Amino acid sequence: MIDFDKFELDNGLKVMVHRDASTPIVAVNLLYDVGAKDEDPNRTGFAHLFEHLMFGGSVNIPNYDTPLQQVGGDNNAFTTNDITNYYSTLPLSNLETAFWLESDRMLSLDFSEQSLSVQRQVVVEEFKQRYLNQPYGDVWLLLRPLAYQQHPYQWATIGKEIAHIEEATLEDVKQFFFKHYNPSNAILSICGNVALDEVKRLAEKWFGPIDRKTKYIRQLPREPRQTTPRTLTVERDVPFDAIYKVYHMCSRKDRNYYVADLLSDILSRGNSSRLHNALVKQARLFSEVNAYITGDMEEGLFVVTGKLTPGTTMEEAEAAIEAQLMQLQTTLVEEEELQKVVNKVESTLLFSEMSVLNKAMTLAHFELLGGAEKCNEEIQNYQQITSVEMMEYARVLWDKNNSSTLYYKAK
Amino acid sequence: MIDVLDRKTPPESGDFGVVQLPEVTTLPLANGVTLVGINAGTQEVVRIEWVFDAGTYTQEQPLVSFICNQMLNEGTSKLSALQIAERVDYYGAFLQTDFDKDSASIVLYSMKKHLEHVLPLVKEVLLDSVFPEKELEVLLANAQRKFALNMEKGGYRARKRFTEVLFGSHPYGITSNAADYDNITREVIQRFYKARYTLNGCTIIVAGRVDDAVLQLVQKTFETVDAPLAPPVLKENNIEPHPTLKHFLPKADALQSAIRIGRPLFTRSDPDFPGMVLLTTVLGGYFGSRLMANIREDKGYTYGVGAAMVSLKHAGFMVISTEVKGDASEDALHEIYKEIALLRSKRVSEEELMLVKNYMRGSFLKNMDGPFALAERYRDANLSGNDLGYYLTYMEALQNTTSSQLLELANKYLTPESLYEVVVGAEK
Repeated sequence: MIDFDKFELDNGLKVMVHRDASTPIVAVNLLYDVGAKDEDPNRTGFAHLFEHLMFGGSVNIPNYDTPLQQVGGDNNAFTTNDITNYYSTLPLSNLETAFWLESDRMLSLDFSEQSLSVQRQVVVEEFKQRYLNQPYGDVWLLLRPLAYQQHPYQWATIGKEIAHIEEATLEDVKQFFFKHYNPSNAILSICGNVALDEVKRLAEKWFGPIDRKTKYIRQLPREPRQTTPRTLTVERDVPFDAIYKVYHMCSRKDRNYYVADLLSDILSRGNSSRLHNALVKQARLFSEVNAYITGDMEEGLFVVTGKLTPGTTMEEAEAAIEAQLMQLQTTLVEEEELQKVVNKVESTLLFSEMSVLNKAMTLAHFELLGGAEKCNEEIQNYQQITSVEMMEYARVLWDKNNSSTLYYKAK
Repeated sequence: MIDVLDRKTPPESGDFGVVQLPEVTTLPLANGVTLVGINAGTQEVVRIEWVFDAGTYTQEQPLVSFICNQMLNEGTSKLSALQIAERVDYYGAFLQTDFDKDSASIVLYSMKKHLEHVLPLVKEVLLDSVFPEKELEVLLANAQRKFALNMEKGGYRARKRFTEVLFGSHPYGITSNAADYDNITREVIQRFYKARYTLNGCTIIVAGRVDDAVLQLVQKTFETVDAPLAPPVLKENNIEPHPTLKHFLPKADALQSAIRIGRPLFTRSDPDFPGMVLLTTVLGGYFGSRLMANIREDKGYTYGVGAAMVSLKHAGFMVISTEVKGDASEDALHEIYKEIALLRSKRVSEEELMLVKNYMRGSFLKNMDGPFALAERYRDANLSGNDLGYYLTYMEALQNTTSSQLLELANKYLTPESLYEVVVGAEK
């Protein structure tokens, strides 16, 4: 349970405040409602490249990190297909420094050629380190365009290709900033031993004077319903064959989101899960196997993946996975097994509330989803799910015509 | 609206506050267990760690410590692996195994309300594991495959070679290879388990909302068992690093080169330790460090570079690690050595020193925040016979280190002839 207050400035910035008196640390999280899905298909990887540029100096402050480190603070950021999220933690008494820094880069950036040219190279190296120079690193570069033909989830946050990053110009950077980085497109959350009045005063002082600007209204193409199974086979220099099956699922706000999440838990959460026991330990067809949901805001993917043991054919592997899915489509999950995965969700939520930074991220994230207060209803949302619903949704979800399969073969 | 704020001048910085050490209860139990309670936090959860002197240092052949630790969840004389996992999961608990060079442990995360159901399970796992042949076979085969996969990663190979180069035939220098997986038998694992996982000598660290009832429950569960003392492992602690400083491992078609540079050093009990931590932080221990500023933020050669001091029980080391653009490998190495040379020739400015010290004070608050972080700090300190108070002394020494002392340390420890280098990448 996270108790909090929320208010909104005249310029549209939403602010969440949670008091936790047990820590000398305060967490500041600033979420911008912009992600890779908002990119031009010919300029992908931009939201993420832009995140790097947010550390290259703002209109009044030449360097973001130094003044923060000077007062004992630390920070980072991440970009997903849905959002760009900036966060910092610092000693409570220096909270104002974070307001000063964050508000200045919301006001305007420095837009320097030097910073752009270096960060382009850094991101290209990140592309190589995480996606190209790692065994199985390019899987999502292959899977996304297979599963999505229209929706911008078809590219990864790093971008479709290195060339898109290399071609980014300062003009692109400016346009992106003015389109997306404004108060009405952002959510600020503060967690620590803070008083609401003090946060209000700081928010008014530092963010209040920033112009509202025009809110960008998102109009994304809808992904047409998939009507036939899709497959892709690649060969790579990796030690073992691997298989990836993905299925289109509902959006984050749908009740079935919780159903899908519990289905993935039944299949692969922890050592007592079905896939691990049936396919790794009993049949020994896989050395590891996983099921999870991508957790996207819009219609995301349900993923089942595994690395095959030597001697297992792709056909056997796929049939074994499908048999496990089929079982959930035809037989109700027993009460005790359902209770087990719901209990695990409950304790995971409880543990996630142990750090002020996690709490700050949670509040901002749920506010974006439609109301921060909903974060306290999560456990009930899971508890309400019945095994009948699970079976019904399993049938819709794992329809063969809704599947995209990547056969990733060792050379 | 006209902006009349002064946005150029930073707000006044305030007092960072002090680290308040939590209430720590230490109970030596009659059977040789040391029970430690750390009362902190606001949630009704606990983290309990059982720490054994069963790290890789104590093993007689590679992989034994690792496999034995991993196998603890895989079956007792009464419960199968699946039954153990089902019960742990049903109560929403997390039971993890963990090992490193100096110790091995089991860590339980549980809601307080379910602790009484979960503790007996842990007791059974710790005292009655039977290492079923079938489970061992599966685990070994999968671990061997994971190893093969890791060997495809430049960073992994660089780290492995770096360890071998630094510590030579010292137990810390022994890494595992593919063939070692074939030499693990159930008997080897059982023998290690009997000798090393004994409650006599075990430290149990309970952290979270730890009241008397929680401590009593743990005490009641674990004090009744008599056990022989885990015998101390005596090994030659002389470290003889590799005679050659520079090592290159070719990796065909690598887009990036993995680099490790460093040297063996001392443990945290050495008086130079706090100063060396400060020095490595200046060099590469935070986002604004010299190496990050140079090879990432100025030249764009890498996504990241870091430097750290690592303290083990019997030795320590300093390491710089990064993965850089393949064709910039030479330049990156050149810049790294240039930054090290600069530490030896020029005093760190007062401004930079203050910045790093402040950054570290802030990190220190975070590293000592919350019951789980405190439990980990306690375990690390306890390895060298210290308690949480150690960190206050350490932090004070670090904060009192001057730029002249840093210059001396750099000249004492970071000379070119003392630094080992490992590069894994494409051949030129």
